[in-house]
Amino acid sequence: MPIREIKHRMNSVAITAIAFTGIIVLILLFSFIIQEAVPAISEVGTKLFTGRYWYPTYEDDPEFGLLPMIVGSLEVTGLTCLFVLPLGYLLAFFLFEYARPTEKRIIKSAIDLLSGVPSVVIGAFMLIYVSPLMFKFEIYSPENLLLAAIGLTILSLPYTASLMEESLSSVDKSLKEGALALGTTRFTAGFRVVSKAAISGILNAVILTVNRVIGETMVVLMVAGGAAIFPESLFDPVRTLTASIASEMGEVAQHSTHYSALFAAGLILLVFSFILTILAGWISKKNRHV
Amino acid sequence: MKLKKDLVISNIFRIVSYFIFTIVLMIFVLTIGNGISYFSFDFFTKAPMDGMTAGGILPAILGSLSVLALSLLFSIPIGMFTGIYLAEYGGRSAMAQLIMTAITSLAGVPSVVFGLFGLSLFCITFGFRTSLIAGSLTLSIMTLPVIASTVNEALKAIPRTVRESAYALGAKKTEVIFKVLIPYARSRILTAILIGGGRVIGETAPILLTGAIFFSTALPNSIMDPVMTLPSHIYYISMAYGENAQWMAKGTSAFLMIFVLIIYGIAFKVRRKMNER
Repeated sequence: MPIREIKHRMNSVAITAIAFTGIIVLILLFSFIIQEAVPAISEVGTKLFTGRYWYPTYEDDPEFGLLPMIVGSLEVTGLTCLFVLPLGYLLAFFLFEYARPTEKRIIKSAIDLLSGVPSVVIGAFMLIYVSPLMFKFEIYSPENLLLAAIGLTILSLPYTASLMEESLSSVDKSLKEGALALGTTRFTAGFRVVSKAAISGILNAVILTVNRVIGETMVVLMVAGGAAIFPESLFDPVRTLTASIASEMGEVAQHSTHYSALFAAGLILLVFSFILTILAGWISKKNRHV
Repeated sequence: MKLKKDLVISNIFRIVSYFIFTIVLMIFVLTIGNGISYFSFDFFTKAPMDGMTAGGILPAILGSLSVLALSLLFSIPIGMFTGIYLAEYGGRSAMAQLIMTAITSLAGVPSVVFGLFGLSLFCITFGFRTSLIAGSLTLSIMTLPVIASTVNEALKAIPRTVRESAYALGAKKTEVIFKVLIPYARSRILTAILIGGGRVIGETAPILLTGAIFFSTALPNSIMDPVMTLPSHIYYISMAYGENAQWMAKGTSAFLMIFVLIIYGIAFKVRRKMNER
């Protein structure tokens, strides 16, 4: 066999073999997280997911209830979505429909660049410049739910807006032109016609945003205040699943119940993100066939 | 009447968009403007001293660069080969679908979960402990989906004529891929690597779990040593140190932000140029 042929075959084998890495990693990811979470689940039982108290370091009677963090994660995510989804849609709509080319280029560049800013920098920004403002309004906890949601909004806005803008732009131009020719305003054409046609893309953007926000760690770790309580107001400190994992993992003994309970928190996040990703894929696929 | 309503709406949208734009600019200007005043020769050439109140961030810079280099060393070849497989070999086969699903799912997994995974696989099972190599491997897994899916898209976007003329000259499949298609798609692949690299530089949570210590005076001697990185440094200082260490958090934030903005700036410039072509 000529060397060329040997080289070609070897390369083909290498490409095919390495392509399996993704699958292997995903399987390993699930099996390791599950394996490490199992001890806590069998030891603490369902109280792990329904218990209201998280005192993992009490010596006599430690409590491992993840519920405050689950609720915390959901509240932070819900509040952030309340900000970022309308703002993202509005910004996308503006860029798509009303912006002049120069306006569009400048705003889009700024948003694109913002998407690269690391979350820890946003966290530090909130801590240094925004958190002190809370004292001015006599809020007892300068790090709280609201601050975390604002930080997460800044962080995920570029993502949400660019996904939504993409889905609006991918709609066939003739639809919009047809609507305009029938005498609708640009708002009606964009809102009632183009957005309706792009609904699966927009829904996809919503799901991916939720997934991104719920998994974000650094901003909530730095500015959410970190108390494992059920927050009752916007200005209460809150602790999320991600923040607990990142802040406590450094101090636990390997293979202790506490260690394992943190993996259980990770498992919740993993399952959640997996479901959302599959859902997003399913929505965009379903629409492609139509 | 109708047109007037549209004018009102368009102005509301414009005002909100400009408001967002202003906030974004403020974040850039405040972070960089307030941090850049702490830049000095010492800031880039010394280790932190006196309980993080003096000195510089050299170990963090070197640590971040080694994490970046090491994780790209793994994720570029694996990501590219996966992308090549998806575009050129898999077609619409079940295997390719499965790999694609795995890649998309990995892309959606929260970074802190990757940290947990890296901790249990690399640090504990492989016995790497908290180290440069464990952190870099964890981050390379996170960058894999970014590179794989972009390479896949880049190769699929190449016109068929390019492929067919290469085959007509008698080239073998892998020769076509490596000598024609990859060079043809190089700017898109470069963009993917830059964006992946920008993510690696800024990632904090996984590094906190698998590779970071909060203080080191020197460059890690081996890949088995823990490292100090720019993001972990910012985190530890803003959380655990008092007022007189805050300048260092501001300076480091500014440096990290400038660094990432340059990487992303280049990436988007390359992409824009490509779109114009």
